[in-house]
Amino acid sequence: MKSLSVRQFGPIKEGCVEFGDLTLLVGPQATGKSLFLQLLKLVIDAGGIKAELKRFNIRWNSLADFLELYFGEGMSALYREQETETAVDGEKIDLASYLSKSRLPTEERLFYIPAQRVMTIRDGLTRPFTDYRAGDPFVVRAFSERLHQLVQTEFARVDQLFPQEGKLRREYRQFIERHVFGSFQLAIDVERFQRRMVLKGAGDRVLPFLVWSAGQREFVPLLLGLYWLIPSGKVSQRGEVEWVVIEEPEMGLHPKAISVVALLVLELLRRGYRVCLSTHSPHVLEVVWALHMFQLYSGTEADLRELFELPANPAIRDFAEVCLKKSYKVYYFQQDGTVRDISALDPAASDVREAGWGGLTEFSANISNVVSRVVSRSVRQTA
Amino acid sequence: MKHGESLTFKQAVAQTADLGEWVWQPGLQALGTDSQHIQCAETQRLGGSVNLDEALKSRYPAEPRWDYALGWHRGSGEVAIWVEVHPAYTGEVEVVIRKLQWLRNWLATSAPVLDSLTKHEENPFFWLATGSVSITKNSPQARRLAKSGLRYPVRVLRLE
Repeated sequence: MKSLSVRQFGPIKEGCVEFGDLTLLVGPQATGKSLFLQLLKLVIDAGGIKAELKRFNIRWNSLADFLELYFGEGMSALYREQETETAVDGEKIDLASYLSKSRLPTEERLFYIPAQRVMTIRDGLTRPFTDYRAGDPFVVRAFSERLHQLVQTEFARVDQLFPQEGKLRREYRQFIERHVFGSFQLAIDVERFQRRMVLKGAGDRVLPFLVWSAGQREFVPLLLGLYWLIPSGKVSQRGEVEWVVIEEPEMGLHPKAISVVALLVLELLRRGYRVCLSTHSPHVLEVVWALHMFQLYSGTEADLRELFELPANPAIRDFAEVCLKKSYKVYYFQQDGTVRDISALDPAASDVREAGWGGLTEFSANISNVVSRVVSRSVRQTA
Repeated sequence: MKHGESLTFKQAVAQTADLGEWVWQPGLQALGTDSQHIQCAETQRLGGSVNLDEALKSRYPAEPRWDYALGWHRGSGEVAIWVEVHPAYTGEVEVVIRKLQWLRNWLATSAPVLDSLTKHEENPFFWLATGSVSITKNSPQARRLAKSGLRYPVRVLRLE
């Protein structure tokens, strides 16, 4: 799939996103970014979504019922059968008849890490699909189910989830240690036959989930999602998964930790995944802007390594070379319901929407301009 | 009448000993090809321009000279606007700030008539970027610029 277009879908009046290897969606709250990303999953994974619901004995009678199950309670009205239009690579698809097809592939091709990911861990315990209400969004339930499988089954014999030899590059592990976990390890504590995640410090001091920092609580489900996507050994990708959506990867994190997450997102690109992010972080956009500038002005792998303070070993060099060849796109979901391509991210663009990076740096720019005016006025008065 | 008040930009240039009326040029002519960085719909409001860098080269050869001055009709009189056409990299921020400091000092000590036209404008100094702007708006360098009283660089100045 190269592009997805929608008309009259929730708050989106009209929008077309042409995907890069990495695609960022920015914009204020309630402009349809998350809905758009969920629709992308629905279009790519309709067969798998239906199969997953049926696996848990969930049935539906109409498109509206299905959309309530998928997008969540009260959300079906956002898809207006007579008005909403969806097109993949310019070709319109009728969602009702598309979903009623019986021979859709059922393998998951898009892995979705939702914004509500912190809710997928309760008191350090992962939660299965059935632990949720039927009106909870499918993407949250499905992500939670994957983490549950990972921790309770795939890592059944593992006592320590982080750091773990063979999971993620050593350089990434060191960054995560430094900027997220400090001197603590993410460990498994077996309590009444249930495997509970805790942080363990020096002298086996145990910190339960509720005393973790907000950033650590946000980061752990993201880390487990990445573990799901990055199998051990020489396998690049998980199963048939080609696409990854991560909503607001910066949530709760210090800018240093956001840099680590950005690095891990680039690692997903290196592995051949196509990644879509929604973000409110200028920091994330700065990374994409730097990559864009490197591509425009013949930046090298050494420049990219310098950005992330990465060493010059052959594997990292190769990683940086690959990242420089990827394509990066940025779309601004505007309050008027339209979607605008601001991929150039030119801070001096005449169009304030592009210059302000979809509103993310407008406030900083305004602060700078007001402060410069105050300073200039003061200098003039004292001269 | 206060010194400099109600003077035109051209008269203020003529009364500045370091310059003289022969350095004044009509419209944006003194900017040459750099005039592409200025947009103005009401050209009749332009009060002429001066290539400051060129005009002051022999007198201040080693100083960080500012590039251009423009006259612009605003309200009841003309104001002076100062533009520096310069690459916008983070490494150039200190260079442009030094130029601004030098300009302010020169206005105060050697060009009081032009300085009085400058004081009519709230923030009359502009950095016009050649090529891409490589300074992020959240960067310490952007804040350093603001602290010095200089706006974030733009590629095109729209005179309104």
